[in-house]
Amino acid sequence: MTVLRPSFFMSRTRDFLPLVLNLPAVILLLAFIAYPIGISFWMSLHRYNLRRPDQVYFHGLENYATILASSEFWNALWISLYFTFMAVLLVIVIAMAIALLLHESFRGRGVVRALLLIPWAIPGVVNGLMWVGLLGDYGAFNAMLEDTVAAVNYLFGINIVYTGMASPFVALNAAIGAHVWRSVPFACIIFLAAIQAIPTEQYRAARVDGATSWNRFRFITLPWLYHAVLVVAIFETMNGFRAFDLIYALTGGGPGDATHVIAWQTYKEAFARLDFGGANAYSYLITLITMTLAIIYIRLLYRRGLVQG
Amino acid sequence: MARVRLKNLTKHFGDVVAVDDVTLDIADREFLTLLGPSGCGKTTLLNMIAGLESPTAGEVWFDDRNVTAVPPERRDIAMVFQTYALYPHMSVFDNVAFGLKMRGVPAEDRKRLVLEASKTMEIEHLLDRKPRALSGGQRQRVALARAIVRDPGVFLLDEPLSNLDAQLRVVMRTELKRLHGELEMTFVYVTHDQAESLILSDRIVVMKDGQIQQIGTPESIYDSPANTFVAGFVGSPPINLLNGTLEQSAGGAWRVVAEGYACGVAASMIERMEPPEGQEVFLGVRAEDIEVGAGPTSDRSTSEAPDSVSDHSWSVARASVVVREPMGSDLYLTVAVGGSNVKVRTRPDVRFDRGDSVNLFFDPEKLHLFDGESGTSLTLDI
Repeated sequence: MTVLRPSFFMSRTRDFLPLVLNLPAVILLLAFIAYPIGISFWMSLHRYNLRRPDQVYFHGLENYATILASSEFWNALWISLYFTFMAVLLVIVIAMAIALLLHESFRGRGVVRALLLIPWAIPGVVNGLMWVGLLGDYGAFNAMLEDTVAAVNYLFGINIVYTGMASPFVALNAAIGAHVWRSVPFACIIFLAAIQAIPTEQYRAARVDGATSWNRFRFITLPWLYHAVLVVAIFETMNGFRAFDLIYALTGGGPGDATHVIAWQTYKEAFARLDFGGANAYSYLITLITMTLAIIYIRLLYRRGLVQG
Repeated sequence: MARVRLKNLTKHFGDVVAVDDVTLDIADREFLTLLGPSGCGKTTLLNMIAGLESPTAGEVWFDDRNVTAVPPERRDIAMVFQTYALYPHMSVFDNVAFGLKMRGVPAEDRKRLVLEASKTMEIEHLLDRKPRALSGGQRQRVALARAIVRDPGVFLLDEPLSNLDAQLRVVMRTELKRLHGELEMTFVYVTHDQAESLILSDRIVVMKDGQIQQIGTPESIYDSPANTFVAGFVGSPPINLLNGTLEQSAGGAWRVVAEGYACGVAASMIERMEPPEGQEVFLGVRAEDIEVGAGPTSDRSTSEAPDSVSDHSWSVARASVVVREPMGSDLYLTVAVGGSNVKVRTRPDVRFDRGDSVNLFFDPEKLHLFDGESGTSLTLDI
């Protein structure tokens, strides 16, 4: 639009300088993100098993076909779906309840808020080991559960057999409990921040309008938290599907295949069966599933007009 | 319809006294304004009338009902907030209908009432929109519609115009006055804008530090301020306050004297207040009650001293123009008198400019005298 035409040199400088300045970042991104993602996908298209290192060859989507045809995969997928669904539900409900409590002012609120962060700071493996201590044969939680079951049996004259972590049901739900325990703080902080961003005049207006405390939660707080719920739901869904370190330490995938979540299955493919092609295909399937779920979440909220584009 | 009575209302926040022993009787269908600077307790007072804050001491009565312990939803009030507080995730219709819905009004009645209120506020075409798609003025109308839809007895407004731009504020001011004329409601209006309060109110309550400074009609607040605070807060530009000493001349006439000026005080004033000789006072005179004339060294003479100015009612020596501010219909001159500046409102054809020497003539009928220490009016019977 300008009348003056920039010189050839000038225009060249303008084009290249930003590129040159961005180059280090671009190289790092390519080397540490794009390359591994690419090579992983490439490997997933190969037969690549370290037990037969001489037989590495391209065979297209065969790894995927094998996985999709295996009952192991579907078993792991259902366990992961159950694990994730329960984890997301519990994290959202518990974290929101705690956030609402922490929003109220009371003596020592700051200390409680700080304490809340501790589970978040604990690494997954440590969390797993801690729950092993609590839920193992000599664990306090285990003893309490045992006594509770015994009391229920006595009171109702029934005979439930409690086998602790040897029971698939207990093991899977214990893993979910431990996962939720560790995930709640992060969600709680997101909710707390969102709650604190709600203008107090909204509540004043609602009170003048005659809304009860339940209605104020339903019509004011909850709609204001849709964004936060969306963020937490996406984050926790991905987290749930990728849960591995906790499972590794707490149940080791057992008893039997009761806690064979999909990430565990991936690990097994790679490091027990040494089938790197199959493991990479598993990784890509996990990515595909979590991405699909995230897109569904976002689409749902868009359709309801709760998120602005 | 409701008469609102506040009895010895007090509110403490920790050690801070936000509202201090306020007693006030608001008549049915009155437009009453709580006016004061920020932090004067006016919003806290309004919140106590609404029931959003509970008083530390004192009572709130609506007609013959003590509502001090009654929650806001059962007080028959509606409120408009400074930020409008529209519910962002609801449509305009749902915003207006929310209070009705919460009160269990059936859907078809809700629709009818919302349409009526929208018609009054001229927002029928906006009912499907979300608040974020509205302009500031439209949001304000929705907030008003939400308040009037329930046909409350008392209408509480907390600085409803302060988030609007200057032009829109003028429009909505007129709208509010129209609304008060049409609706049979008691309006309690909180503002820090003295012009708004003068234009809208039947009565104004001027507050400072949680205490009522003066209650009166806009005219009485403007013409007879109870103290230097009220005098300085109400009116634009603010009243000129000059400190000086009361003196009696040899002829028996009273004057206020200080460096740079001497001003005669009307005999009628003296009768009413019996000031002791030598008392320190503040002389208050509004910008429009000053005539400006050529001073001893000025070569530009455009304005003569008005005929009504007799020898005991003037004047100022050694005054010089500091700033000249033409405002179209008016001209503001800031004039240095002794150690202080005096603002004068005069005709735009007055030619004095920066540096010119002038004489000032104070309208003797419009002078205010305040106690030099307490600031309370010496000319007003309270």
